[in-house]
Amino acid sequence: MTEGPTRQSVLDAHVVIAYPRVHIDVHLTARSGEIVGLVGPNGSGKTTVLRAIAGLAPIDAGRITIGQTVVDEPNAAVLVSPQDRHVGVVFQDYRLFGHLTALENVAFALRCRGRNRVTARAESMQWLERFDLADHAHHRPTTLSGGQAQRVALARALATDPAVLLLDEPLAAIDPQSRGEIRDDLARYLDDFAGVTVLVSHHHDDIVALASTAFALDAGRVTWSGPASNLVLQSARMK
Amino acid sequence: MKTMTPTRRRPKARPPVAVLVLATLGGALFAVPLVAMLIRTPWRSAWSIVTEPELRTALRLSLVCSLSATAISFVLGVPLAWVQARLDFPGRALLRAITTLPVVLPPVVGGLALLLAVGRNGILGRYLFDWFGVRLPFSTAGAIVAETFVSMPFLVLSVEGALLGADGRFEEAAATLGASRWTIFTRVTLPALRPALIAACVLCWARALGEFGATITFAGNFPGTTQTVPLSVYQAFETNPPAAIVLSLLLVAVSLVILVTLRHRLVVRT
Repeated sequence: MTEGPTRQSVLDAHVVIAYPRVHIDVHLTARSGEIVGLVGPNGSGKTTVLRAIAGLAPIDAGRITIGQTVVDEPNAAVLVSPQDRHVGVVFQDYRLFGHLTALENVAFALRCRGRNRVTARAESMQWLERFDLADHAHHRPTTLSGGQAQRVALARALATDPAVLLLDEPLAAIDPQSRGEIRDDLARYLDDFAGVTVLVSHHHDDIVALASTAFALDAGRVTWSGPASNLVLQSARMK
Repeated sequence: MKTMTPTRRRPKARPPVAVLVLATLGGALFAVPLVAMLIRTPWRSAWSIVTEPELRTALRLSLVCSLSATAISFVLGVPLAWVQARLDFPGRALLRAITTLPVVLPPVVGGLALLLAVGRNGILGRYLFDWFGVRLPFSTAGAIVAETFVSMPFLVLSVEGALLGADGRFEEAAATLGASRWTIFTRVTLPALRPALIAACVLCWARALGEFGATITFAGNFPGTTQTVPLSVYQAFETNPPAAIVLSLLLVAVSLVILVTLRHRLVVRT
């Protein structure tokens, strides 16, 4: 979990994907400990950029580098599989395995990274405790609330010790009443993560609350980038 | 005809009379033989017939063969369905057609084809015998092969349908967690399909249990070795008609229970 020195992770992603409807050409960079927010309307290419970084959508041109490793560069015929990228993903719909308990979901990730059954379970329990989920360790995903499921997904993604953490609309499935509280919790959990975090949301206030740097996307292009705190000002100016 | 309930705002669709008449005739085609069977069943001697040693042997053999065929179909058919559903390769349409063929092929033709392939003098069968001393025709193993040939397509069809209906969302999540392709298949894809897999196995088993044509052609009709219940129905029909009726009813009952249980799962999505 926390053994060894923290990887000096740098993300440099130049994502070019030509879809029939939209041509995506986005370049973003981030340093360790940085939380980058991607904001933009539906169809602006935010999620596609995340999928490209995760290795779920190969790029058509450009280059993606994680740490010192080039993971996708069509011109050099380099394409590293999602398994070998050390990228953790929290999907918008969380994608917790329905046939496994919360504990087993986290243990699944650790088993994939070579831990034996006993170690994986013990470490998973520590992760769940850290995310205030110890009471729900043996519950199936369908019996968890939105916030709890989100934390299980986050614990599962972080358990693999990723260099880059990707969060796709992490608050989309949360009901409005608990939104603020869960966002504060999320900010607290992300604080402890030493790698690069890339966060997607179509709510400006989420990005302002969670991210340090913001990229505004529209129709596949970056229309603005800068400190996340300036985003409010910027969006006011754009209106 | 039923009177319309006044509370309903829209009137029920009134079926055309001709359609009703034809549908009734169509339904009767299936219902009348079933009723006839029930009427003519020698209920008093039914139990003694079912417990006759010969028929007990046939029943046991039927169970062994159909369960074995289902197990083989599962082990080979699920990967086959996965390849057909998830991989894009030239010849996929042809492969699909070939693996579905036994659904529509007369089973006797299937039995003949099996003889030519793995019979004593078949293109593979001769080597099976020369090298390993394995002789499939006229053996229980042969009956299992015949039943597998006929029943596996049903499993492949329904598993493939289920796979096509499931998007790869959970497989993607597993990949980002570092799961190997084999781990994803066994630990994510298959568990998510569990209900569909169970339904596919039951359907496959039901088809294997009723298999007749391919078995008698390829494996022959030997009591204790290859004579399953459908084959003994065929034989009893000549020598002991009441026993044939009782055995038939047994097969009907099992099949009916299966179909009613699976009624929501039998529609194959394409």
